[in-house]
Amino acid sequence: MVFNTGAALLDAIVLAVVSKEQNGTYGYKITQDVRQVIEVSESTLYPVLRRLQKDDCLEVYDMECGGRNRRYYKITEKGTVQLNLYKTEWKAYSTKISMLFAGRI
Amino acid sequence: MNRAEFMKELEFLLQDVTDSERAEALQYYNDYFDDAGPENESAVVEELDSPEKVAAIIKNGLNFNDREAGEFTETGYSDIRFNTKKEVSRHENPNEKQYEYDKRPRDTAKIILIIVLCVLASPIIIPVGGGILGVCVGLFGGAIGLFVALLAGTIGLLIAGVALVAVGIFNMFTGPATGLVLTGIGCILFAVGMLLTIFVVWICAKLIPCIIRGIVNLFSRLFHRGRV
Repeated sequence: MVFNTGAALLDAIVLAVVSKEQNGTYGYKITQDVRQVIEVSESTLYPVLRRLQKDDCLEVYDMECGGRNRRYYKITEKGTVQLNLYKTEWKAYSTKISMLFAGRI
Repeated sequence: MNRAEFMKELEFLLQDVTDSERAEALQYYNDYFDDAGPENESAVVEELDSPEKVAAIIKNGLNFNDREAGEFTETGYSDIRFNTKKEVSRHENPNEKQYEYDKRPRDTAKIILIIVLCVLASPIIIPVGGGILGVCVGLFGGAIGLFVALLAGTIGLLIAGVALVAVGIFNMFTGPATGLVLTGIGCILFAVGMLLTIFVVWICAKLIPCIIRGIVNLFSRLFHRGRV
């Protein structure tokens, strides 16, 4: 089925994926995890991460790993607040639709 | 295309963004290739589609608030502005992939160019145009002349016919043969005049409106060609 969704949901998914790791994750892993949930092109996520970083929902730090610097993304306080907002919105949104489909409204 | 070529092309395409943004983006994708591992290099290149697409997505992400542009479809989340049409196979020349993102209207440029062309070519266009216009006017005048002649001829025939019939009848009393001949000729002339009258009426009622409609159609097609 085709459901049109704005990029807000994509932001929410990315934030949720990053928030799973206490100390953050790196771009490749984030992409793999997101792609387990929804089909996205690998080139889609960089602008999302960049924007979330600029909005202070994510912070970056570099960590030496196997002889090279790896860039990690970690969720911030503001990002956590934003994510909770998305979760609440999603719950209200999807519950009503599910109830409608189940014939309970 | 391998990773090195891809990244080199991407760096080239990102020249027009700020240095820090370009560095960030290149680092991200270099890290990405590193984390995927060399064994996945070609798969990643394939999945990333093309440096052009990646560059455009990056630049777009920097410029616009494109929150509403992406949508989830059955083939995954995609932004229709960045769809590439894959032709036959991956092994074909990558330049053949058509690639579209937000087009600025190019029609205004075309219109300006046409105007400039007209101004520059006017020394030739004006005399030639004048000649063509003269021919058209001449043809039109000739047509009008023919029509007037036809009208006059028709009226003349009708009058002559009636007159001859009258004379013929009058001559019947003095010389029947002459009278009959005159009357006969008068009738014929009158009949021909009637036919011509019908013809003239047909011209006025059908032919002329048809011609006018044709000319109007021609002009409207000329002027409205540019509009979609």
